[in-house]
Amino acid sequence: MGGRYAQRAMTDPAILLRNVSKSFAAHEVLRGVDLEVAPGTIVGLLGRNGAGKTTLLEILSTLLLPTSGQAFVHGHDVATEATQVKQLVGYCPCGFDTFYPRLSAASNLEFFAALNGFSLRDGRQRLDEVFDLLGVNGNRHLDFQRHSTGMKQKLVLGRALLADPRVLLLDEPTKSLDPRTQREIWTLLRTTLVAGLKKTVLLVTHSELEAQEVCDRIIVLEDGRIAEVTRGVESLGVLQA
Amino acid sequence: MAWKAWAFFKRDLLVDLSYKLSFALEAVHILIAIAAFFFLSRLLDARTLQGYDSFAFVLVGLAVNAYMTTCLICFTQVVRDSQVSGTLKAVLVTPTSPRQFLAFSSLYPLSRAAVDAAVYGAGGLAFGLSLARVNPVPAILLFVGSMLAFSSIGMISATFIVMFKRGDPLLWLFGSGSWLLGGVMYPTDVLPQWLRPLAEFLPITHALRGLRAALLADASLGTVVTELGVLALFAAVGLPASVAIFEFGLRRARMTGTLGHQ
Repeated sequence: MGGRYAQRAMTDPAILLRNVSKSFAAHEVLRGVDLEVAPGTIVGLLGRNGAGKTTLLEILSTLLLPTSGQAFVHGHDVATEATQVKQLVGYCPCGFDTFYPRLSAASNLEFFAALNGFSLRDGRQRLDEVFDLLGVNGNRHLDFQRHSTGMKQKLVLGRALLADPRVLLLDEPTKSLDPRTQREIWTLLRTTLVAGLKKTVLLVTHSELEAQEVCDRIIVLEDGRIAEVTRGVESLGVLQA
Repeated sequence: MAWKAWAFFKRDLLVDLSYKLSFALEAVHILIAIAAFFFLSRLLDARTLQGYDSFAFVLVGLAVNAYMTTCLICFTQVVRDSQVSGTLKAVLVTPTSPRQFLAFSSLYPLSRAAVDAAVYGAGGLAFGLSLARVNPVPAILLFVGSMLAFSSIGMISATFIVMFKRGDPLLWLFGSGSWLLGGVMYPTDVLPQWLRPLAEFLPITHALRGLRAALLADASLGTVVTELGVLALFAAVGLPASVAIFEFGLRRARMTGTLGHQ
């Protein structure tokens, strides 16, 4: 099945889940999730705490294996073709305690650029591009631990963008940002990354406003199942119930 | 690939440099240990230590035990620190394979272990150790061979950390067994007859036997070929096995969802 999907990578959905379930011991977190995300769109993933949103992102980013079912990114099976999937995906985890606190912002991102295959010169050039894209104007040579919460959050997003991935998996990327910066990120996602660069974004958020402002489609996960799919401007009955 | 390896080395160097005092404290710690064993060696009879000067005998034992300990714990430390800092997941979502992560993360600690071994040598010189009978080629080959052999055990113990987070019995068993039976502080022939065969299953026994001969008795490559062969065998079997075991552990953690658990 993986080979067939690989051949059709250019026309296939950017993200495809077929009956994906995930259990941790006896606790079933995802229950038979089917999902297709078209290339160049932004899909919001909402749901209460523990609904399975982060688990779904971690399966797509290859950090977790599904218990059953299959998940594909541009036709590549996340379980059997993890190397290819990693080259297509940029993952922005929730929170920013995923850096080396005593290294500078630049050193941190240069390290992750090298892990993504950049040479020193190319990595620094890409870093400049990403900082420009995010509007980062703080001192990039300051230790990561000394940066503001907003700057740290932008660096997490910046790291996901480093390898110029086709698919972005974002777990609450604006959680710690002030309203103005939040709007800047929304514009970046909507206008620059999706409309301009044709990226595909799966955005986990707890903010209905963010989902409605930014997303083409909103999916509500409830108790490990997809409970509702709406257009960005439609109401979110499940969450409001 | 080389740039990626350098990126790991540079990361660890920069983090280490941010704790400037640790370098100085480690050197002082080594020098104090050398001084203590220098004075203790005055009480020992050189004839009981396989014909080597007792201070030189113990100094080589301490140096090898120190870098063996680094080889054993650096992999578990890398994994544990990455789990606690949250960087393990961030690294593993990049196109960096688990074996690259493990191998490249060990470069800096192993380099520091080599520097520490050199500090032991320099400290020994200050206390009158003679380098007149050093044969560098077999010494370097034995040093590299023993590092690879010790590292294979270290990588297996890193799998315990991935799977169980703490409580690595292998590290404890191997470290304690090597200290007790490997001939670090005394020759293995002072052990009871029934314990001596056990010592032969430990790479440190062969590393110490070969290195003492190459560093203190000008032994030729031919003289230490058995020790080199045993260490090469440990490495040839242990390294691929330990990488396979580590990858199995990671896959299991991806299944159980415990990859980043603290």
